[in-house]
Order: sequence, then structure tokens, then C-alpha cells
Amino acid sequence: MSVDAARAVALTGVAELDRLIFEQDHWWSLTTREQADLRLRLVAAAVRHHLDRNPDYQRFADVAGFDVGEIDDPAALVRVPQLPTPLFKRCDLRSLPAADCSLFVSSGTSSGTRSRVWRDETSLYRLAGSLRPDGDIWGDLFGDVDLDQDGLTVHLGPSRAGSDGVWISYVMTLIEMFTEIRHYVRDGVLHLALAADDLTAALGRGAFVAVAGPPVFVTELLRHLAERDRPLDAGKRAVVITGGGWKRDGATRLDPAELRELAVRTLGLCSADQVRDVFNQVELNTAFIECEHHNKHVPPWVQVIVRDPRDLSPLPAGATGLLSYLDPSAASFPCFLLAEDLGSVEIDRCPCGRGGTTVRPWRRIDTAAHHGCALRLATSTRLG
Amino acid sequence: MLTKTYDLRTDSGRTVGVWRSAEDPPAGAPVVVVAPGFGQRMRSAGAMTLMLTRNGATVYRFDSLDHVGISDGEIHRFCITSLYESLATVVRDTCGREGVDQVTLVATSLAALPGVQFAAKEGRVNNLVLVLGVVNGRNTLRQVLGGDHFDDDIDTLPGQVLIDKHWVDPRPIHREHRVVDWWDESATINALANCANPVCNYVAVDDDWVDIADVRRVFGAAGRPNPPEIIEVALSGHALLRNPVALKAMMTDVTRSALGLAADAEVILPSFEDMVELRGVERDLERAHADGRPA
Repeated sequence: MSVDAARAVALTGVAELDRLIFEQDHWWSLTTREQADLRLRLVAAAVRHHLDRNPDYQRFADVAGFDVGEIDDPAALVRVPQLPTPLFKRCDLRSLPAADCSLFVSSGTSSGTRSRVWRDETSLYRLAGSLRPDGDIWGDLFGDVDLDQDGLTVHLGPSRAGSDGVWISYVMTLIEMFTEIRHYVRDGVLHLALAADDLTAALGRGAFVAVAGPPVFVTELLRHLAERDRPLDAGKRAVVITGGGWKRDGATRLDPAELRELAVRTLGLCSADQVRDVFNQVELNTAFIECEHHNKHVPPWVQVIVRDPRDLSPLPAGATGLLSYLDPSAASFPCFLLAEDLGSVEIDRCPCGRGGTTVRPWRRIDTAAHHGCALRLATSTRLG
Repeated sequence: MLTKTYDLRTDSGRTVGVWRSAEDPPAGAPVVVVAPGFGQRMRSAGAMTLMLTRNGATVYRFDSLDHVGISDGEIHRFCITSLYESLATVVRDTCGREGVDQVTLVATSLAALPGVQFAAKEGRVNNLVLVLGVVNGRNTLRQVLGGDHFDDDIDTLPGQVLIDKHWVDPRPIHREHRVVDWWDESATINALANCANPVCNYVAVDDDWVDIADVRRVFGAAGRPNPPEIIEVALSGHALLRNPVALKAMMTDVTRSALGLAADAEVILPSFEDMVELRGVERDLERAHADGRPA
């Protein structure tokens, strides 16, 4: 005699997406074609979800003359209506009741406006999932280390409660799900000496240390450490994770390669592979993480389309244009975005061997008006 | 959620770390003991505990002997007997502390094997809820190790094998199999046949550790008047435990099963912030528990 299942647990949302994000470690083992087919299924389901629940997006799609029935091939995804990110500053583009969501705001602009993005718990979990340390993008950086037990993240930013709407700080604090984290921006002051002491002590007791924060603060910590007498010898027991804007102009400009070199020299890392940058913006629900070759890999569920700034027509791989995204991982808002960043993508070109898309965000269209989360944090924080 | 930490001594004199969590439970509220699966600490069950306590239960968790966590022994010496010894010690003590004769036992993954045996041997379990519960340990080991080594000569076994990211000496497992048959499905069938309490098992349909066909066969072969129940979780595997979206859906149902609530009863769900914050809080709690022991 055999007992059959009398009932089943109903999984809400897109169970295929959740299984991919949380249960599979090798996202890029899918072929490029498999990734494209997967995105077609996931994005089409997400478009229907938002059209059914979000009257604003529905009107936006109607005006564009969009019919979801057109989305029957990966190449047709370019026709999905994408919301210019400034729209998030003017209206609440919400697909679920406010009671089921939390409101997140971006850095401000010179005009004082901020993006307002509503996220429900499923969307937040998926965002955190895109940062999972057991994902294959990190390679063997963490080795056999049990981060939950033996890891410490030195976060050069505020706690979640103190993040004051600085999105990238909030994203960084999600690392707490995977390892112990301590925050070194308190009441608007970056406590460099304390961070340096804790980092040194943690390495001394054999812990694995991740230094995480905006590039400008990571640089400050590394310079602070470099001025100390005793050099560190972290070897393979440390990583540096930067997230947020890079200051690209002026006398204090930051160069990623220089930061990596400074980190290797100051912390005594084995290689620059241990320094990784993460790209995200408040309207985007997935983090793009650098591989060991410092290319930002787009997880297979996200479609990146580069568009010609003049007429928004899609551009081929390698061409520079406006970056736009179709991210099905957000349940509470239509994460179909026309961003304000110029950049480019490559397909199957990374020497690391991971298939699919890599993206190179280049710069904001109007850098004078919009400085990004990390740079806003830098202007509102003093060194201590 | 208020969590109190303490240690217990097993009959063999070893130390088991235990946490009791509650949120002002009403009189007569269910008492639940959560047994961690392979490679899990008691704080791995933090989310489950928070859901259960938010809905009125008093929850006990423990780190197993010879496992990860703060109880005696290392996971390198893992065997089911150690899991059983930890579980039995905690349930017996819990009954005394709470003044109850029986508890609900929630056992995850490999903890299902000693959980079923304990429920059959001692009448202290009134409701057995298995989560991705292994019922045929031999098959699970075969799947994990790529072969069945129970019939091999113990001297030919390697010094360690990799099980779910943990290095384990296979010889203690091999030795215990000579003494108790708990790894075999026949032992699970016999135990299920010899306990009267309700049993259910949440099984992920693509679980590479737990073949749903094994669960159907074992549950059917127990020949009980109240057959054990199988609840399928679609589109998931054994890694479901790290899929918070699917886990939340499953845990809502597990909470109803563990607390004896109706299938459509409303369940209070902790928020995302609660869950993330709990991770940090319980890391600190574990450290304080271990540091607070006499040297």
C-alpha cells in the first residue's frame, strides 16, 4: 500500500524564479539560449502580474499600444513598456497594497526629489538572494569558511535603521542574513579607527572579514590602515565589496583598479579577485556582482537592453547607450526600467566562462544633478 | 520573542545547549521541540521558531551532540545515535519544565530518523511533524555519497566524506548501523507502526535527499489506522530550507500542523525585518551562551 499526498503547499508568486534564486548555486551554467527562454517565461509572467494589478502601468502600456500577447519570443522582450526611472520620483508605481509593502527612497537630486519604490517581502528576499555568498559568482572566494559562524562584515555605512533612505546602505545591511555585520557610520560620522581596530582584531582571531561600503569610504579606510605601522596579512581571509557610485571627476576621483591595488597592498590580500564591486539602484531589484575578471554579470532572470538615447531603439552588444532593465523579481512594482545610466553590455564575452550578459554602467546622463547613493552618503557623513 | 538559554547533561554526561523561546504564551499553549537537520544549528530554526511563538507556542531548540553548534562534539563524528541522545534528553527535560506529558516534535531532514524512533519508543510525542523528513536514511546516504557503504569492511572506508559541505568520518555511522537499524527504511516503518500519534511529512517533490516514492512506500507500509500524511511542496528540492519565499509558504502550513490549527486558520507571519534582525540577535545569543559557560 502507498500513501499519496492528500494536500500540497501552495507556493505563491513565481516559484520557478524563487527556486533559481535561492536553491541553485550555478546561475550561469545555463546556456545563453536557456537563459533567454527562462527570461521570456519569467518576464512575461511578471508583465501580466503588473498589468493585472497596477492601473498606472496598465495605462502606460495602453498608451504605448502594448499587447502582452506579443511577448512570444525572447527577441520580443524589447517591446515591454519600460518606465523611465524619473517617474518613480513623481508617482507611486505600486502593484500590491501599501499595507503589504515598505517604502524605500533613493538618494536625492539637486532638485531635492527622490525615487519612491514600494517593496513587499518577497521582492526584498529576492533582492537579498541576488547577493547570496554561496552563489557561483563569488567563485571560491569564501573557500570552506562558514560565514554564518566565522565571518564578520565591516560595513562602512549605517545600520538599516539609520540608513535614512540611502538605498545602497540598506542593500549592504542585507549581508546580515548571511554573516555577522557591524556598522561604522553612526550619527553621520564614519568611525574609521574603530573599523580598523575591529578588522585587525577579527583577522587576528582567524575570522573571515568582508569590508563593505561605498568606494569612497572603503578608500578612506584603506588609506587609514596604510598609515598604521603594522601591515596586515589577510591572505585569503578577506574580501572587499564596494557598492554605490564612483566619483569619476575631479582631484578626488576614484579608479576601481587603483582601489583594488590599494586593497591588495593594505590588507595583504592574495589577489585583486578579492575586491568586487556590486551594482544596484533603488529602482532595480537585483544586484549585479563582479566576477574575478571584474565584469558585472547579470543574473539570468534579468534582461538588460541598451537603447539609443535618441529614439530608444535597441542597440547591439558592445554599443554604448541608455541602460534599461526587465527584472521580474519585483512583485510589488513593475521593475521594467529605462534608467538614466549610459553603458553597454556584452554577451558571452567574459573570460571567466560564465555565459550570458555582462553590463558596464558608464555614467549618469546628468552627473551634475544626480550623484547616486554612495556620493550622497559621502557628502552627509563626517570622518571620525 | 524572549529566548532563554541553558545547558543539559545527557545520561552519558555530555552537554547539550538548549534555547527556550516564547512570546507570552496563553495557558495550555502547545509546547514544541524543534530538532535540527544535518548541518543545522538551533539558530537555523530561528524563522520557524519565530513563526511558532508568534502563534502562541513555546518552542525548545537544541544543538545536537557531535554536530555544528555549541553542544559537545564535532560534526566530523556525526551519527544518528548522537542526534537521538540529544533529542531524547531535551524532550524529557522539556516535559518536566513545562509540566506536560507530551510535546509536538518538529524534525527536519535527517532528524526525522531519530524523531520517529523516539516517538515510537517513548510516549512523549503527541504530534510528529517532519519537514523534508528522511524516512530511508540508507537511500539518502547512497544519494549523497554516490554509493552504499554499509556492507563495506569498516577498514576500507575513507577517513572522511563530504556530506552537504561538512567533512564527516563515516566510521561512527557504520558502527552504529551494526547496533541499531535506524538508517534502514524497515526501522522507520516499524517505528511508525508502533506510535499512535499523528505524523505528517512535508516533502519537496524534487528533493534529492528524500525520494517522495520512498516516503509514500514507507508511510503506506506502516499500516496505521491513521495513516501518516504527506504534504507536497511543488517546484522545490532539499535546498528549500534556504528558499525563504517557499519556506514561508511551507512554514505557514507547518505552523498549522504543529499547533493543531485548522487548515484555513489564519497564521501570524513575522515581517522581513523581524527575520533579518533575528539572524543577528541569535548570532549574538549563541556567542553569549557559549561564552557564559564555566571554563
